[in-house]
Amino acid sequence: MTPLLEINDLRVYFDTPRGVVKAVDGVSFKVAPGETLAVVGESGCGKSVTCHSILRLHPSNGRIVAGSISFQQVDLRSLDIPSLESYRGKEIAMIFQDPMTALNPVHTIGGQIAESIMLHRGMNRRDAFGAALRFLEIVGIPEAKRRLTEYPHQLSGGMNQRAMIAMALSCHPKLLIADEPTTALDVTIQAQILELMRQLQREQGMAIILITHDLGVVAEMADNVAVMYSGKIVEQANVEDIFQRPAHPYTVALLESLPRIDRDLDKLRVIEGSVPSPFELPRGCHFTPRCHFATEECRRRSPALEPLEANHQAACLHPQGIAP
Amino acid sequence: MSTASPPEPAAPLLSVSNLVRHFHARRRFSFSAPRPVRAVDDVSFQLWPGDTLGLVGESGSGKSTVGRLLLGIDRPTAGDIRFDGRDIQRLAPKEWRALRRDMQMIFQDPLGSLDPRMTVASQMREPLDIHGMDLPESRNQRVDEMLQWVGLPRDTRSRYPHELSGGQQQRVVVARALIMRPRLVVCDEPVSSVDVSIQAQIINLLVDLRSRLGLTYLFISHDLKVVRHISNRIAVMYLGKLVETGERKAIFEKPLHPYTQALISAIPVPDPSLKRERMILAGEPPSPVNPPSGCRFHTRCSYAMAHCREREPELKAVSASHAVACHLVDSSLNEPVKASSVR
Repeated sequence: MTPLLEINDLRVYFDTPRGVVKAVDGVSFKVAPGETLAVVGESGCGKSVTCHSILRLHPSNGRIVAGSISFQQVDLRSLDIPSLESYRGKEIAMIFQDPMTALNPVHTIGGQIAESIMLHRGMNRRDAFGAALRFLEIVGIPEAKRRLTEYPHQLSGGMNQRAMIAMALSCHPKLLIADEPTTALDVTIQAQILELMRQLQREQGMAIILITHDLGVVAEMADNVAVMYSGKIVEQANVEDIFQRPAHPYTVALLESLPRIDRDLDKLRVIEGSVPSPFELPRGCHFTPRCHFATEECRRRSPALEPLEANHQAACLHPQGIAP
Repeated sequence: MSTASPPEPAAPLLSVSNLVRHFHARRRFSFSAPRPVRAVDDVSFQLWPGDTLGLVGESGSGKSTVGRLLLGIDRPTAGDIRFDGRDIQRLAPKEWRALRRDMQMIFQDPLGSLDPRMTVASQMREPLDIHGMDLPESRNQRVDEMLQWVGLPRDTRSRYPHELSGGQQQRVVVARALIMRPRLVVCDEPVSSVDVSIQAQIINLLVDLRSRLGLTYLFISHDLKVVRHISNRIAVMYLGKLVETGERKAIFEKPLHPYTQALISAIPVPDPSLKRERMILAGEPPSPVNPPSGCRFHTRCSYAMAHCREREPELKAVSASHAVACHLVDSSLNEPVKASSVR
C-alpha cells in the first residue's frame, strides 16, 4: 500500500544563543492509511518537533534543514504557507495535550468548530453549525446543543478535550496528529477519550500519529511504534515486537523501568544518569553514557537505523534479544 | 519491596478520625447562601509505623488536602488528627514545632519547593539550623551524609537548583525532607513531573530509604501503577470520601467498590497481547460544591440502585483489613461484582 505520509531523513535544527540544537536529526518513517503510529520518548527527545514540523507548526526559531515530508505524494516541504494552509485542519488535523492551546477563549465552542467547517468544507453558516452539533454529539458531549453556545472556560478539561477532538475531526482528516492527547486527564477520562479515538478511527478510517510517553497507552492504541532518543529514532517496529522483543538497550530499559499494574516487581530497573544536554551530545551513539552494552565502537560512530527482521529496525551495534 | 506488612504494634503512628475540610467558594451573589466545597468529608484512617499507605483518587478527590491537613499546612473544619497519640490541634506552639520535625513532606514540583537563590547545602542545612538540631559544626557533615544517602555526588552541595537535572532536584528535595530524621513522610505526587527513566530512580530511592531509615509514608498519587509498587495498604478517595481501604493485594486483586474496579480497569497496561474488557465509566466526577445525594458515585455507577441515590453508604469492614463504602457489598458476601455484567 502506498503510504499516506512518508518522512525521509528529516532534520529540524534550532538556533539558540548557546548554539545549534539538533532537535530532530535524521528521522524517517511512514504511516499507512488507517494506521496508528506511536512516537514515544522522554521530554526533549524531539517527538513533538518531528510531528509539528509536518505542518510547519514547530517553534519559529527552528528550521527544517533537510529531509522530505511527502503526504499523498505531495512534498509538503516545497509548499509555501498559503498552499500548506489547505492541508492544515483539512487533510491533517492536530490535537494537543492542553485543549486551551487549540481553542480560542473568546469564541464559542460552536463558533470555532463551525468556522473550520465553513473554511474547509465550504458549507454555509447554518449547515456548519448543524455539522458542529453533530460532531459534539459524536464525541459524547452531553447537552451538545447548549455547549455550542458556551465558551471554553465553561467546560471541564475533559469536555474541552472532546470539543478539540470534535473540531479536529469535523473536516474528516486523513491523518490525525495527537500530541499527548490524554496526558493531562484523569485515568477514567483518559479511558473514555482513547476509546473515542479508536471508535472514530474505525468509522472514518483515518491514520493517527500518537505522540506519547506512556507505554501503556502505546500498547493499547498503536499498530507500529517509533522510539526516539535525543533527536533520533532508535527503534521502530510493530507494537508486539516492541513490547515482546525490544532490541535497543534504551527500549529494553524503558520497558523494565515501568511500575506495573499487572505484575509485582521487587525493584524497578533504573536507567542511570539522565538524557544528555542537546549542547553536549556524546560522541557516537547518544545513549552510550547510560548503556550497559556500550563498547569503544559505540563511542566512535553513530549507528544507523537498520533492519533486524521484517518490520523491525534498531539503531544499535549490539541489539538485544535477537540472534545476530 | 516490603509487601508483607510488619507486625502491627498496638499504637498507630498516625490516627485520623472524621476529618472534614470545607472551603468556602466565592458567593455569586451577596445574598445567596455560601456553599462550601466539601474537599474532605469525614475521612478516617490509621497509619502504623513502617506502613506505606497509598492514597489514590482523581483530581478534585481531596487527597492532597488530606496530606496538607496532616502536616498542619491547612486546618481542618472538623475532626481529629493524632500523631503518636497526641492531638496535633491541641499542642502548644513549641510542642507543635518539635513534633513537626517528625513529619515531612515531599511535593510534586521539585523546583517549586527549592529556593533558587540558595545552594543545595545551605537549603539542606537550613531546617537543622532552625530547629537547632545537631551541633552547628556537625551540621555540614550531616548534609554530606544525606547527599550520599540519596545518591548525589559531594560537589552537589555548592550547586544551585537550576544547575541540576529534574531527577537530581527531586533527590535534593528528598534529602532535605529526610535530614530532619522524620518518622512520617507525606509524599504528594513525588514522581508525577519527572520522566519515565527518572521516575524509577526516585521510586527505588524512596523504597530504599524507607527500609534503611524506618520511615512511614503516606503516598498520595493519581498513578495506581506507582502506588501499587510502593504501598502495602491502599485508600481510594472519591469526591472527598474514602470509598475503599485495604491491603494492596486485596485492592488490586479483589477490588470491591465499583469505582476502584473502574479505576484499576482504566489503567493502560504496557502489553499489547493483553486485550482486556475495559470497564469505562460514563461522565465525569461531579463538582464537590454540590455532590450527588446518597452515594456520591451513583451518577457514574452502572450498578446504582434506587437507595444508592438516597442513602449514603458507610465505610464498612468486610474483613479485618478491608473496608468498603458501597451498598452492593454485603459483608457476608465478600465477592466482587461480576465483571460479566460490565459493558
